[in-house]
Amino acid sequence: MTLRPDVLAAILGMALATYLCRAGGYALLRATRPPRFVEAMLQHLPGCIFIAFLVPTLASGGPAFWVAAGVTVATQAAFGRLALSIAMGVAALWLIGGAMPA
Amino acid sequence: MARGARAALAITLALAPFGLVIGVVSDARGLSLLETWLMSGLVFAGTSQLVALELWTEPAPILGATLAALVINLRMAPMGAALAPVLDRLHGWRLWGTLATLVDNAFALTIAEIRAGRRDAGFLLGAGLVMWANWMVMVTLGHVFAALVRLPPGHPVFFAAAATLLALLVPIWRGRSDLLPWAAAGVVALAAHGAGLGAPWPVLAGACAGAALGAARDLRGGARARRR
Repeated sequence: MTLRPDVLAAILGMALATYLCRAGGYALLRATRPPRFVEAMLQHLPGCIFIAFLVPTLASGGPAFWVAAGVTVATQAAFGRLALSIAMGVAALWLIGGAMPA
Repeated sequence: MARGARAALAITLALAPFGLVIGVVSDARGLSLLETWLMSGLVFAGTSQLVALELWTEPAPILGATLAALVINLRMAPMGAALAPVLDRLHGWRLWGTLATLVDNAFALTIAEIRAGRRDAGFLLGAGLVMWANWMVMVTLGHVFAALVRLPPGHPVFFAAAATLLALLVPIWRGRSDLLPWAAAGVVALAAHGAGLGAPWPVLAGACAGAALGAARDLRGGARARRR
């Protein structure tokens, strides 16, 4: 159970940077009344963040990923059970024999 | 808060493999269990931990790891802003403490709640805390059983993280008006990724482009409606 000072400093630096990211966006919004355009953007941000995150991942994964993604979304739309949708998506990818890009 | 915890429990299995990997990699990089706990407990952001560990050196890269965490977790800044409908109800340490537990999946679950008409800040905290506890357990298992848990990087089980976000898109979808911003987000992210930009730039560029397009359309539509 060692705790080296250089490792601790790196961890604290990472923790501080990450907390600034977590709290900074909201702190900025709270401190300054944002223009209407920014308010309108915030309504659209959540979905766009996930799409922007998922599309490059799926694109580099190839057709097996697209099928697995389709299975996941279809299962969620049909049954509305998150755990089931995730399991179905992983199972689909497993069956097709696709592999995550390293 | 209990509702958020229950919702998070449903997807803990999906997040488990990632925690295992962080534990295994931490062990491979020579971090002790105590150091692994501190990093995972305080940083609690998997991708940034993985990237920092990839560029880990002896002695530890203090500036490099800090910058990696800053850049990769920058995507959380707009998330916090988008959670204003629930965060505005909190003050003091409750507000800043809840923000400390913010992660992608808790964010997605909470946005789905807001879209369903429920504005409960406790939901966000409950979901975040359950994910944090799960994270610590899985990281510990990965570190302790590093030699046994040898999941190859291409294992389908890692698709679970992407599948979680995919499934969460379904309750977040508000109808056809989302189509244009979402398509723009995807195209811009793909273009940034194709141009060789690393994380988080494709995500930030795509998200901002899509949201800006949606906002421009909404405001122009609103102006036209007022003129009529």
